[in-house]
Amino acid sequence: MILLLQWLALMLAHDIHLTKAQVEFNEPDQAVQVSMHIFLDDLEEVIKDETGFADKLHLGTEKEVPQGDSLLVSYLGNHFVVHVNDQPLTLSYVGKENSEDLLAVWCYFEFPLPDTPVNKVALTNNVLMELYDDQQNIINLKGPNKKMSHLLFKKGNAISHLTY
Amino acid sequence: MFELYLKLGFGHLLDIQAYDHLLFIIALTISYRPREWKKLLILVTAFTIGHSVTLALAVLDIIQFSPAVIEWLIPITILLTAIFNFYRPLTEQESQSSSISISQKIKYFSALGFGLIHGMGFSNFLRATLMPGEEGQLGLQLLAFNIGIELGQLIIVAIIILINYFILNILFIKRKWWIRSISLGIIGMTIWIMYVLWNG
Repeated sequence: MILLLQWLALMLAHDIHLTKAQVEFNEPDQAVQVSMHIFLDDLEEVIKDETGFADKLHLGTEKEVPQGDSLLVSYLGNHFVVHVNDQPLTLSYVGKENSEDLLAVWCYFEFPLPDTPVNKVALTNNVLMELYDDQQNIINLKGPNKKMSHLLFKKGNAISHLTY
Repeated sequence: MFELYLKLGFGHLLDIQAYDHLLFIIALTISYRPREWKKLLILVTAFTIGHSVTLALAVLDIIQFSPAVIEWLIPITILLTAIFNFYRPLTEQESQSSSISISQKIKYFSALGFGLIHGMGFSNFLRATLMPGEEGQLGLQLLAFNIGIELGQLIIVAIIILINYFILNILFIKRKWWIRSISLGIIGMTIWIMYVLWNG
């Protein structure tokens, strides 16, 4: 009964378990470009859990540890994966900046595209899903043909397949 | 875009891990007998009108409020609704029609009023999903999200009607006991919500 109450307390109300991202197949730049909004306190927790880093990261502040960006990149690479024509693309980090309310960061990264025409795309986005069962990640995707898709990723349904 | 926001609205209401809206709807509708489903639908419509209005006003930035205040008001709406279920005419047999209609009126107006508050709560989530550059689609997002919420609501209400039917007409559990037990449970959970908010 106590465990049930504790579980209920943790599951409380409106912590917003959401990331949102704009993903664009940029032909002139030959890359898939991503801007992703993630809450800082959640990032702090998952990066530490995954990398085993002992101290607080202080991401997005003046106290940010020197390893901050590389730990972030390593986390993103594991949880945001792009396959084009069944080949995985390589993540290249561009940078990050704090959101206006300072609660989150916009992370900027890209995946260089091969020269071949894009027929199949598989997007995996399970960022933060190991932390919250009800985590939802949304993506506004501008595809190779400029067609917009609006995708929702949830635990157990974190891969989207598209064909062009 | 429509489909995404429909799913977001539907999922937001039915999210077991964000259960305050669920508690409110249960508290609001638990005292209705299965055969009173028409009155129940009218009541739910009052709640719907309330939350649709403030959801739209908030998302369009026409009204502003402190999210923290709304976080506190929502449990209060649940408490008041659950406590009201102990009001005699709701739990006893339909006797004097005049006292029943007063309690019905109170329920309708409070559903409308509390809906205003829950709508502001919904808007906190909806606003968090918005991304730069898609401002032109806000109307569509709002409409789809709201419809998603209504669909989720209908599912909950249908389930409650079915459970009530089973409890009252098949197990023959006493209606007064059933309504009061559920309401007490809801009050307990809501006090817990407020305790956690206080320590948050």
